[in-house]
Amino acid sequence: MFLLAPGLLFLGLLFAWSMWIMLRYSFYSYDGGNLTKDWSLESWRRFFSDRFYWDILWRTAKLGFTVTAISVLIGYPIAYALTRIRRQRLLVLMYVMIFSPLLVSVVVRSYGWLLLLGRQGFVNQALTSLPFIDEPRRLVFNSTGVTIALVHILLPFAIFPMVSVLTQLPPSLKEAAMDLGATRLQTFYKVVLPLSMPGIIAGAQIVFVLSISALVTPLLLGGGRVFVLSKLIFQNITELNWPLAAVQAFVLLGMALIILAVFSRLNRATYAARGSD
Amino acid sequence: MTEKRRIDVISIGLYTLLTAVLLFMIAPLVFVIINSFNASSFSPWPPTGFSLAWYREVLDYEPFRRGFRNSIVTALGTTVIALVLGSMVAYALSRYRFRGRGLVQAIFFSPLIVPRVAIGLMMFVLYISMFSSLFGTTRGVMLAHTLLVLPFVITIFAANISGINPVLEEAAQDLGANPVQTFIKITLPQMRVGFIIAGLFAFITSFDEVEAAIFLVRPASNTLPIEMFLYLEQRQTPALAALSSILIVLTLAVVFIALAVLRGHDLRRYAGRGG
Repeated sequence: MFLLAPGLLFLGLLFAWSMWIMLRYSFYSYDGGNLTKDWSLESWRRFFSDRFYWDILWRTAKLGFTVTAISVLIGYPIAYALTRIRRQRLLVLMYVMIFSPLLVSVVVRSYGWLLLLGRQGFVNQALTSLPFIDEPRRLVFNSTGVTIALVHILLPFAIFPMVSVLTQLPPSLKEAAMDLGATRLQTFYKVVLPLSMPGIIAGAQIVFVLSISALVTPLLLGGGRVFVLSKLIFQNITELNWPLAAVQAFVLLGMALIILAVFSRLNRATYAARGSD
Repeated sequence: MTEKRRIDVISIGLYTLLTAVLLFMIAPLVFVIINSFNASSFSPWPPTGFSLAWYREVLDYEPFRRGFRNSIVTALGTTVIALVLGSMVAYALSRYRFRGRGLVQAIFFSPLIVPRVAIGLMMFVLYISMFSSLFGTTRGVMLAHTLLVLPFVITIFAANISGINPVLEEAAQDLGANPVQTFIKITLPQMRVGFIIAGLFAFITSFDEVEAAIFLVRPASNTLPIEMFLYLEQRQTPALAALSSILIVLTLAVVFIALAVLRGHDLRRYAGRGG
């Protein structure tokens, strides 16, 4: 057990202790730029009674759901297509292309999207060369740019669990369905899709949690216009309102936990459905 | 016949989408590299001319040089701590069955659920209220990064260890080696693949991480991606593209070298087994 002790000590000291201190900070009072260690519910009350914060909460959730939905809708066919590729070298090349963005900093990737989506960027040049678009579109410094960049950053996290579920699917199941007279489309909807639900749900969980906590991408591609919870936390730190930042961090953590729990419940439902068939 | 034709339509659609997504994935990196040679400081498309000036500018820019040094130190420290702790924990979790194993596992994976921004803030309040000497230092960022990468490092080692045959360890013990000797002489060499992959992962993650570190730094301890972020908030000259291109090439080089080492190592092992 001496193997576990250093790790547990490290984690306990850093993780549990810092969580505890952050909880205490959320109950300190903050008044006109001064932080005092008097117990107060003020920050919690302020967060939940102000419509501005509810609005930010809603926007953060909406961004999370949009990015998750797009990532799953694009990621699933991609994962499916990848499992059908038989040429090994081609497959390796494709995996490298999909996962290589993970090797560079999120700052570099966001910068790349700033270049591509900017007013004079490649995408706008291509768009305005089309006959029916003559004005450059505003693609950055709004939620469109943030959504595109977040999908790009998080898509590998959606694809990975879906690929691993799809490759584990025994081909005999598909063959059995086809032998029993199902068309390819029916086989897909009745056999492949339900059985790959756990991969879809796992991908959605990861993408949602990572998208609501993204900070750099909304800051860079959102300009001053896209407000999300993580941005408020960052702002409150610089404005020395640490109690409110702590409350917002707990709300963000709460949102992540709720979504994880809901999706896990969904996952269990699919297993249950499979069991009763 | 109609059935057949529909399948082809589906396949064509699927592979078209795949091609489009593959291009989408590499597009930002490709355009960053192209733009690093752009003569115009406003980064327009198409580039107005070819220039290497941005590379010179980046290499002489002191905040980036300092950031690079800080990032290297932070990433090396994170890698060492995470590998030592992670290999021990993974070994204990996969070799021993004990009461509360599930709980211990859950504890080690709990940092995964917490958003990075929240981890940054947690460490920030911990440092300023308890360990003020850690705030604004590379050591402070190192500890936060270790927390972030530890669950992944443990997972990689666990997969590695589960592939190691315990019979060899038992044989060593039967021949009179004590558990520590067995671990060092028998298990550790077989965990080399785990060390390379987990080490690579920890190093790259720590080197690139911004969202937790940004809460923990002072200007003197800024890591390279934080310097790049601050630079980008002010200006968007191709200097940043030049720096990004250097980093992309360096990272790819490190990954390919590591993969080559791994493959050679595996090949030798198989060759050894064959002979």
